[in-house]
Order: sequence, then structure tokens, then C-alpha cells
Amino acid sequence: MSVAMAGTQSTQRPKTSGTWRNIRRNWSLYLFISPFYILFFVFGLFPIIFSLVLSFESWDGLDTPRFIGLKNFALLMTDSQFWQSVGNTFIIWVESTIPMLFLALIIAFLLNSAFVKLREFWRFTFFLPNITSVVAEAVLFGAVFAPKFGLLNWVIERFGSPPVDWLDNNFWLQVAIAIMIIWRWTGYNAIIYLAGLQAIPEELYEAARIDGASLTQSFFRITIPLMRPIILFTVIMSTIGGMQIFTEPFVLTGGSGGPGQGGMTMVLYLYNQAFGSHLFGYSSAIGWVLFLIILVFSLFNSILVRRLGTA
Amino acid sequence: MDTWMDVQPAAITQSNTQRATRRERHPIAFCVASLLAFFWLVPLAWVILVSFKPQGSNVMNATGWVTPPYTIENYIEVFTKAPVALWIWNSFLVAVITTFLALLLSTLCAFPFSLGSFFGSRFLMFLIAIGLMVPGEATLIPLYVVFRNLNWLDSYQALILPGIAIPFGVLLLKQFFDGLPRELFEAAMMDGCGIVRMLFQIAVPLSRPALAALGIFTFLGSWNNFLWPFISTTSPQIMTIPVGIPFFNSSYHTDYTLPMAANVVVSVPVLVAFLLFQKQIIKGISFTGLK
Repeated sequence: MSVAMAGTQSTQRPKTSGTWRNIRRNWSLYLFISPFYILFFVFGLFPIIFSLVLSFESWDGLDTPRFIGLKNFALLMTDSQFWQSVGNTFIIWVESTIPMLFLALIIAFLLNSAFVKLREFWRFTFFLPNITSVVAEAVLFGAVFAPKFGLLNWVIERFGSPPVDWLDNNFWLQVAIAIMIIWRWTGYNAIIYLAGLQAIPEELYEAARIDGASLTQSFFRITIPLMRPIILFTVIMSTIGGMQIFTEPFVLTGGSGGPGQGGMTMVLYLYNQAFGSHLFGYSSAIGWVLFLIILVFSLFNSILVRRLGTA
Repeated sequence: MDTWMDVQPAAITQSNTQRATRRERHPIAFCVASLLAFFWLVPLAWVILVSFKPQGSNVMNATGWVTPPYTIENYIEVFTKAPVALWIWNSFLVAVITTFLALLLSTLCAFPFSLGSFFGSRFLMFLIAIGLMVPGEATLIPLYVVFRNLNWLDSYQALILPGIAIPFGVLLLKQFFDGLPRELFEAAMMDGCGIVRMLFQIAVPLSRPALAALGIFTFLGSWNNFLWPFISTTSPQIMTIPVGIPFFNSSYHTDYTLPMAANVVVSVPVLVAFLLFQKQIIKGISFTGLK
């Protein structure tokens, strides 16, 4: 039975009979893919369709759902709390992604160029937070950022500054969440960058060095341009991840988003609307707006990174 | 900054050992890396130290956290006051079953796509792409409703089933299978080798790195997963460790010592997994980045 050739044969024959022949000949292929697709339909695709339908309905999860057209989306457009959550998410995304990717690039550059012997140890140090549970991390940082008796405020007070109200002030709460994301994901991105750096031929650096280029110059003139596709990949991954921030603010603020709602991210708002207020239709609509935002924002980012590279 | 200036003009002919010694002469680079590493390690060191402090230690003075006396009382209490051992077992059971089934189903599903096109293959791939794009949060409510209607909330099925059919796994493995030499499969077909043997005797043994990476990611993802287990479980008997820990902490949040001991307990299994599979994890991450 020639599996790989079946596809080409079907194009040579009349369409319908070829299709059936194709299916009958390849029945084992369908047997192979069906366990995955059965589960994928039930727990992946069906929920997607279901949530799309729900976003046009009003439902508390118990009564019969009621079709209300675009009302959920109309309400969403005027919901100031939702727009605040969008703003919060973007602020946290900027505050975390830019320092994170920059630090990751520096770490990868250092690991690639210096201390060959200790490379394993450094990599291990920076990557360690990534494999620990977000919950454990949030509990830890809850103690680090605690206004009284917190680790960070103790250090700050040692330097003679007044303690920072990390968890009650919107600005500092967002910084705190960003720090958690940076701590967790820098090592992961550094590993991706390191793989990219190791693919750059050493001869380029040697040639630059002979021509009298400094470390900084070779970083900005050789490393950055050659790393552009990989940087683009990490930016898009960070966008997708950053738009979906949930566990950090959830554990840090106990699900409330903080007294000034500074930690209320889009997904936390979605969660509260669904499982706090039982507005299943409304929160499905939030989910789809979230999806659109991620899609548009990823596209925007990829265009931006490409432009920056060519300019 | 210009430590590179001390490079001799004969740099082209430098041997590898010479290059290594030159590389290690970057004092500023070394300082930057050490400083960064310090910020990464301090919170971890703090967790471990605080977890060994007796409860009600002098919290008014932060130096009191790190100086003796030490005790293992917290660990004993974590295991006796809460069903932590059960939660770890639940997490382990769920992660192992999820990983095994995810690997099996993704392999079976990815291989036919890699062999060539068949009727519906394009459409089926398109469905997988959709599944990859829609964020998990958008389908949270329907998933909850599905399990509620099946009467499966608060069960192992609820924790395991949604984590198996992950589009990412199929895409990763298909990509890897695509990279295997075609000649192998053509030769096997000539010899009358069926698809089952082609997959399990040729493709799978050659794809061990990809399978290992996918397996580890699935395991870690399942072990650390919070949102779905948190929504779908309510009884402490079914809880996994990431759900159990905040549940446990909420009743003892006067002191840091117990939560930190719980943190160490949660982290040790993943730490062991990481040390065992470090190479595959690093390779797996690099692989996803370079593709």
C-alpha cells in the first residue's frame, strides 16, 4: 500500500471516485488520527464553537441561554472596567517584555562569549524559575512584596527610603507583577537567544575584531541584525503570553485585582465575570475580544520588528 | 568596556584554548552576569532559609529570618496539617497519564500528515491551526459546562482529558517527522512494511529528542497547571498541588514559614525532573525557537 503516493493519484482521476478510493485505501491513516481528533473535537473545537455561540447569548450557567445578538459586545465597548483591564494588561506587558527580552539578550550574549566553564551553572540559575509552579512563585513574591516585613521593603528601608506600598498602589502592583514575569521568563528567552547566537559563525566576530570593532559595536552591528527572526519569535510568544496573564495577579491580589484594580488583567476580569458574577455569555465575549486583541497585536508587533530591522 | 582591545593582530590564527582564555578576561561581563544571577538566586535562597525557621520567629527584623535557629517542624506540619502527599500524588498521576496519552495520540496523529496528503488532510491541519490560535481562556467556560453536564467536575477525568489533545504537540512532531529522510519510508514501503511498523520501528526511534522534549513540556505544563484544575476541582481529595497550596496557605497566612516550606515541597519534584532532563529541556526550547 503506497501511502505517500495516494495523494498524487487522486488528482489524476475523476474527482469523486478518486476521493472515495483515496479514503478506502487510506483507512488506516484515519484510524491513526481519529483518537486525537475525537478528543480534540470534544475538548478543543467544540468549546471554541460553543463559546462563540455563547458570546451572542445571555446565560447565568443555569437557566436556558437567551440570544441577545451583539449586546454583549456593545456592553463591552462601554464597560470602563474592561477597558481598564485592557490598559493594565498592556502596561504590565510593556513593563515586563522590554526589560525581559533585553536582559535575556544580554545574558545569552554573555553566556555565549564569556566564562565557558560556568555556562551550565549560569543557564541553570536563570532558567530555574521557569520550571517552578507559578503558584509557588506568586506565594514567594507575595512575601517579597509584602508592605510590612516584606523582603524588598526591608532592603529599601535599609537604604533609608520610605517603604513602597507594593500591593495597594496601582503603579507598584503592576511593577511587582512585571518583576514576577521577568524573573520567570528571562531564562527561557535567554536559552532561545543562546541557541540563535551559537548559530552565528564565529568568523564574523573575529573579522569585526580585527577591524577594531568594540564589544558593544559587534553586539549592535552583528548580533542584533542576525538575531532578528528569533527576536521576532520571542516578541510574539511574549505577546501571546503577556495578554493572558492571570495566575500572578490572581494569587498576589487574592483574585480582587488589588484595591485600585491595578492588577485586574483581561483574563482575571474574564474569570471574575464568569465564575464570580455568573455572566457566562458576557465573559465568552471577553474571551473573543481577547483573541482578537492577541491576533491584531501579534501582527502589529511582527510588522514593527521587521520595520525596526530594516531601518 | 573595550577589553577586546588587548587582542593581538594575529587573532585569526588563535587556537581554541587561547580563545577560551581571552574570553574569560571580561571583568565587566563577569560582574554583570554575577549581579543578575544574584537577583535570580536571592529569592530562592530566601524561600529555603525561611522554610527552615521556627514559626513565629522574630519577623520584625528581617535579619532574624536568615540566622539560626533552624527547624524541620514546618515540613512536618505541611505534611500533617494538609493532604500534601495526596496532592503531590494527584499531580504526579495526572501529569504522567496526560503525558503518556498526549505523546501517544500526537505521534499517531502527526505521522500520517507527514507521509503525504490524503483526503481532508488540509482541512484537518487547518482545524489544528485554529486550536493553536485560540487562547485557552476563551474556551474555559464551555469546557466547564461540558464537564458539568457530563457530571465529571471534581474528577481525574476533568484534570486529564482536556490536556491530551494539544495542537502544539501534533505540529511539533509533524515538523520533526517531515525532517526525517524520505528514502527510509520509501524503502520500507518497497519491502512491504505497513504504516504501523513504519511509525514504531523507523519514525519513533529516530524522533526520540523531539518526543522527549514534548514529553517533558507536557509533564511540566501539567504539573504546574493552575487555572483549569482550580476551576474544575473543589474537594481536597482531587486537588493537584498548585491548587492545594493556595488553599492551604489561605488558612495560615500569618507567617511566611509554612507557605515557604510548602513552596519548597512543590518545587522539589520539578527540580529533580529538571536536573534529570536538563539536556532535553534546553534542546527542546532551542528547537522551538529556531524553527
